[in-house]
Amino acid sequence: MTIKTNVVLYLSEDILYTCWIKEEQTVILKNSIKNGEINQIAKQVANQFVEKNGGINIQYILCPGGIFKPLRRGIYYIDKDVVNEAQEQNWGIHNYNELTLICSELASLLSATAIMCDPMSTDELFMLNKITSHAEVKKYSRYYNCEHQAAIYNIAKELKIQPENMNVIVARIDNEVSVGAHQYGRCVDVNDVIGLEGPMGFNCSGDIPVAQLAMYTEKIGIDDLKVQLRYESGLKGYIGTDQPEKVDELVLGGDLTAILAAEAIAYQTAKWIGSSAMCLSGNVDAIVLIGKGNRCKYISNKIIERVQKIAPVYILEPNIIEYLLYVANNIGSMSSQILNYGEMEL
Amino acid sequence: MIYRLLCINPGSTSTRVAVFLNYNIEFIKTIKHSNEELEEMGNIQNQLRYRYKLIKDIVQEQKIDLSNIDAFVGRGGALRPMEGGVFSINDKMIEDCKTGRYADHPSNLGCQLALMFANEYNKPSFVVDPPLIDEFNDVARISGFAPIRRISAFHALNEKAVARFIAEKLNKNVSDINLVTAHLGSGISVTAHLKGRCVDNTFGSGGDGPFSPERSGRLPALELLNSMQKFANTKNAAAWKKEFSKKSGLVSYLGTNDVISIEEKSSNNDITKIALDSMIYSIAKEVSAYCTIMCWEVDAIGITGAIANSKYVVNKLSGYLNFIAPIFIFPGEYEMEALAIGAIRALNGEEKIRVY
Repeated sequence: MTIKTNVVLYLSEDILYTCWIKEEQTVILKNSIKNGEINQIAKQVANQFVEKNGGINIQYILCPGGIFKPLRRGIYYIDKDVVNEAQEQNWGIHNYNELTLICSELASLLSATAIMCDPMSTDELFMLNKITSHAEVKKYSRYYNCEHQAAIYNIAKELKIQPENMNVIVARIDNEVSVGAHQYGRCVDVNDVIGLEGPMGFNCSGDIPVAQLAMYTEKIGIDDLKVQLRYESGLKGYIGTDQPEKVDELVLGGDLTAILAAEAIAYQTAKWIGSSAMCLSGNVDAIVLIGKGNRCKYISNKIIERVQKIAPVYILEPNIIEYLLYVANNIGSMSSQILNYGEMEL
Repeated sequence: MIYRLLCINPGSTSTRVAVFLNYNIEFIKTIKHSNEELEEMGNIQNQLRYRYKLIKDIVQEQKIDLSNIDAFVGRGGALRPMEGGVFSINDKMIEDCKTGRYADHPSNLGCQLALMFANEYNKPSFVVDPPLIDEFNDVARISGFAPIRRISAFHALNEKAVARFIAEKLNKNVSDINLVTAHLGSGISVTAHLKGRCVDNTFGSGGDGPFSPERSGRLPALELLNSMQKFANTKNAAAWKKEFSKKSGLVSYLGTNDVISIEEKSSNNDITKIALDSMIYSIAKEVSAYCTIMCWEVDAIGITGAIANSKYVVNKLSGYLNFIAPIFIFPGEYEMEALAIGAIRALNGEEKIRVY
């Protein structure tokens, strides 16, 4: 009998994690990755896998999905259409698009099926959350869906409740901040982190008063402004660092600008958590804080102070690899049928 | 002590005048101005004597002796951002309003008109909670993009008045309670009142918070910039800015800002209903968001403004928000009452008169 396994890929802070289960142990390969090295890194990982697993066949290689057209929740074949869209990045620029391409390439090298789960553009929003303040500006649901789902998977296990029986607010405080209201497993409201909506993050602006922003385009070209808002703003724009440990250090040292900027991330994130509580009609089982913001105690303590009366707050680092392996190993079950990208239109 | 007060509230197309005997209205009148007659006069400052004469004639028509007025109270104008309260009208204030130093707004005539009457009849004159009052906590000023600061601009006079009304209903002092108020008019503002201080608010026409019948609220910044690039041939930055205050929100979807007619026309699931319901939903989200400013320890939520006359809007909002705190509805606006009450507090010595 041929032994088959599943492999999962995850990308965090420029490290590609490749993981599978071997003899009931999780094996993790780490490779640092640079932009545009898709084929090289796929070959490197394929060789490493064969070296460690001669004779083992892979059924599925799974990764978190990047940014595509608005999709319903689920797992999808990474087919030609997906690859084309990931290459074009028409729906939003993100290194998860690259991860999707690596997944496709690796699957081709190892004769496996490439799958993506929880695409960042999964859209389960309530209809009332789908329109913006101006008819000519679009609202998308683009966020770190996989990380949110992993957080829910983790907290559900801890609380011994099925995810589909819980109302959870997940706030991922990182370079960007995404706050999602998850009602019985469906994300009914979330800020569009790629469209720069929501709280400021460690290096990303979030939304800012639009009249002032419009007028600011007279001082700087729009393309440059986009880059500045996405990568050089937020905490970094105020205090020059996007490292949480450094922020704590500055705060402890009494740096007033750092204190104010750190407080602002917490303040704005708490506001979005409050807004999510309304979307869940006040029935919130847990508020879960994830992301690198948890490494800055000042920020997480300030958030807790503001929202702990809504629901119990949990700080956790979700085990994303465990979650992805769980998803991969459940493919084919009733709740995890693989969907075809081309057939899915919202 | 009984006081008789003349309150003056100049708007862009009207001048509201009221005479109060303490808290009771003796006479109130809204004088409408056509755009043509105002435009003929050129700038706002040129309307001063015209409005002064209209007010005087109308009050005298009512057989009210202006020499029996104890104090003259004006709304505004657009004064230096500062904490709210009751201010005596002085030369510096008049100078800032005459020159439109902080904004060119018809309320700049308010303090000037009040002072003209006060000088003529040798009585005190005040302004109460001018529009640009700024009681923000520093953290509320941070936008996420260092060159741009969030600014305080809201329906200060009305929302502060509603906060006091709610405190009265709760048998408490406004400085002892936490409230969130939402003023729902052609512009919408949501304000956090932390022990009497308005520590944060949404600046509707600046593009923050929920959208309103004609103003933009928050927008995804990158998507806005994408749209600005897409429509660059037809709209420049200034045109977008103008649109945010007059042609966004419901107007951008439905072509009208008339909530009552929108409400009547909407049927299940059509765009009219979705747009209106989305506006209501976005207000509820913002109110809920603002409750975290007070660490979710909120004594009450106040809903006010013209749209609070709509049962549909108010019922929906109450349904969304009643899990947080008791909700008080004050339909319409209470600016004239707020001017009178403020002046009485000052004359009674209950509130210190501030100097601008």
